[in-house]
Amino acid sequence: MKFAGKNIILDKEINELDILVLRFIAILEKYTDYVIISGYVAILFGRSRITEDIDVFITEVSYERFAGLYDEIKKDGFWCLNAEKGDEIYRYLADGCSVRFAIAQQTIPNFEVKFAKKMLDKEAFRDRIQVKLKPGILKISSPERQIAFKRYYLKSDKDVEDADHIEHMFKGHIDKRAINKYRLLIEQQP
Amino acid sequence: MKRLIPGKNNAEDRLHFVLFWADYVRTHSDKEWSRQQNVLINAVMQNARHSPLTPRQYLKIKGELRR
Repeated sequence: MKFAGKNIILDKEINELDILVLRFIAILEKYTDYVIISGYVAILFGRSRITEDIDVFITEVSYERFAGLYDEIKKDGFWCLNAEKGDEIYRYLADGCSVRFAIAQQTIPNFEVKFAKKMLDKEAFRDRIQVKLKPGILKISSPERQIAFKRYYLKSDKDVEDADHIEHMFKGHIDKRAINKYRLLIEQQP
Repeated sequence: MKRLIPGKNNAEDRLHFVLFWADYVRTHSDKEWSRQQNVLINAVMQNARHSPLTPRQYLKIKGELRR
């Protein structure tokens, strides 16, 4: 693993989950900006567990643009678990709900996609980092934000362990003041 | 490399393993740790293809059934 500013180069062997994520993201980024958060980030950096969903924030887009995205998602062999019609899916997103996409006829793993509407969600784009894998690049939330979000917001055993893993992995590359800043922001959220 | 210290209870045991494995990842090449991690991930991905859950059943389990 090599660190270069906001870029990390990972020379890992790619697994089936990585292939699926790269495939879905390749479609997403044609239509909108994105940042991957939560469990998959810990897994990408070696955590010894699997996840049933990959959480992705996307920037808000018009219905027309979303319709193009959804059309391509379907053409590439995915389906939406929440609804079939594009306008219904879009309404969920516009209402601040997340929607899930999986390989057609499967339910797991799935991509939990949400418009970044809250201030904290939008901020995840600002300090995200790029991870360069051999077959492509993924944009993920900063390790500091991940640690704070998992340790002080989600707080389940699994999430606290993810935070411990990321913090240990990034020892020497972590800004502890940033973790504390995010912790305070999380605690101020209604 | 540090040895894995058994915990006095399940929580401590899990924490010790998380830190032990994170240490392993830090001190070994990406290829080496990912090869081991991929055994777990690829096996689960294979099994996922045979999951009998419908979207409705899955969303109900997640508490996300909206209609």
